[in-house]
Amino acid sequence: MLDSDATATFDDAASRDPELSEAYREMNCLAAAVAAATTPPISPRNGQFEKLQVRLGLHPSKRPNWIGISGWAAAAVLTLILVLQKPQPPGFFTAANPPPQSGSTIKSTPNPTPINASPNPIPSPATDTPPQPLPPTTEPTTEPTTIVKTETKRLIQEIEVLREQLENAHARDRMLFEVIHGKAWPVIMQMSPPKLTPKPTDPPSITANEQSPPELTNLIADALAANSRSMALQQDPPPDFEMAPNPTAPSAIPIYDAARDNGTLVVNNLPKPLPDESYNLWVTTENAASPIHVGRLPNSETATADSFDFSLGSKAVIPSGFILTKDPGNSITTPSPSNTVLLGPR
Amino acid sequence: MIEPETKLARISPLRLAEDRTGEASALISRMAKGDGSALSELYEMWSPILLGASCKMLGNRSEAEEVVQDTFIRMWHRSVDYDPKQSPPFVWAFAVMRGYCIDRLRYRHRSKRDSSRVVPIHLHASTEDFEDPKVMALDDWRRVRAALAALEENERKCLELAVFLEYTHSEISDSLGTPLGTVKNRLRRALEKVRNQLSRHDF
Repeated sequence: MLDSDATATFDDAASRDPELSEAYREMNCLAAAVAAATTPPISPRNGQFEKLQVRLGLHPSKRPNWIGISGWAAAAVLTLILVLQKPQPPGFFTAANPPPQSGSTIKSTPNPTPINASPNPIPSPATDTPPQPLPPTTEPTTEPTTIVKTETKRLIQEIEVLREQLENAHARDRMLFEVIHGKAWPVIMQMSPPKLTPKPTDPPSITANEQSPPELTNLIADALAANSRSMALQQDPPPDFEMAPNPTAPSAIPIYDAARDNGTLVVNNLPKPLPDESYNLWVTTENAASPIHVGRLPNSETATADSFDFSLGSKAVIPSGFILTKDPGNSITTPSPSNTVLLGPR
Repeated sequence: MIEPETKLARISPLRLAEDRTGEASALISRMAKGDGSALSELYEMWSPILLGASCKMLGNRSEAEEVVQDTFIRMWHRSVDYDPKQSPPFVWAFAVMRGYCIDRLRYRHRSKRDSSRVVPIHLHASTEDFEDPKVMALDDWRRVRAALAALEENERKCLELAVFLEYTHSEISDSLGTPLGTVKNRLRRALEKVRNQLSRHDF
């Protein structure tokens, strides 16, 4: 097999030597004949010639799809029959003669003499808006079947859009108002030491759609006011919620608004960390396999009750729980039973 | 490619694969006028044998189908310039197809994607029953088969590799594991036998 340079040289020599050219021609004939005689034919696969036609810009002749055509033809005939069989609606609607409601069957009105009645029956498409008065002229501008098809197509598209919007709204509502164990919306959770457990029969969740708004309001107010945990519970504890058996036990209430990515952590009775210790806040989500570190709590020198603002860095994060750990020094250790101070909701 | 020393001595034209009925030439003339139905007829006539030959050269059906398409596209565009005196129609089509196959084989060798020749997928298939007068005249089929049958197996291999796959002598030597001088002798004997067989056969 000659390379391109050798081929060019050979072609040049063949063009100057008629005998060589003739010999080359005969070799080509021999090669073609040997190829044909020693090669079994292989039928091209279906569609190869059509592909060739497309590449050449020759549009292949399409075979009529009689099944599809007959289906559409039957549908068109049926539509036409239904349209022609319907009584002629009035061409003009007044207050005394309101337009038919959307989706209702178009019926003939008792008004026997519509103002702009047309001698030809022109069906009124079933739309959400009242039909426009017919023009004074009686010439039909559009075929009835075309109108029906256009309106049907438009309505189908509109229904699809509305259905999609409705599904989105439902999904959002489900996410917003779903009763989640131990938290409400905005996310308000109760964190307690790992060894303390709420009553197993009680729903330890406080949700926005529950029937006890005063308790929820009080809990939020107490948390925001950074009142002591014991006072808040003594004043108005949720009826079926046992926060902690020991009123002096540490607790915390994280309040988080995902829409604004703003949160406040209210801690109560949290022991002051040693100089070489620090508290770290972690958040758990349903999507993350492990807790995500939110930040380190600044050491509070004055009180055991304090509040801290935090953010999760993204409005897309929906926390499913919070963990407060106590770690030595500046190290940040993944929450474990040994370093977890508060955990919630549980 | 046949080297100069093995070039055939010109005794008389072999007249192989000529368009005796003029049907193919007429179709090419119609193609030159933009007649798509002529392309369809020509494709139906020649695409099976061209696809078989390109499969034999490339060993890959998908590539072979692309080559056949390229061949017909080139024939469509060059049909205006086609001169039946230069070469018979099928020889022209085969030459175009073989050129595309060689281009692809060169690309394979250049990109080192194919260290050895692809084993033709239908190289050893029987073709005794296939004789299409639209590709070649029936007596041409029989002349060529009789000429190839007169060759010894090793001579036939050398000839096929040389004239069909366009191997050089060195490539044939490498492919068959035969010394270069032996390859040249076998090829020269094969060509002489074919020449003699094709010249004296009278069907």
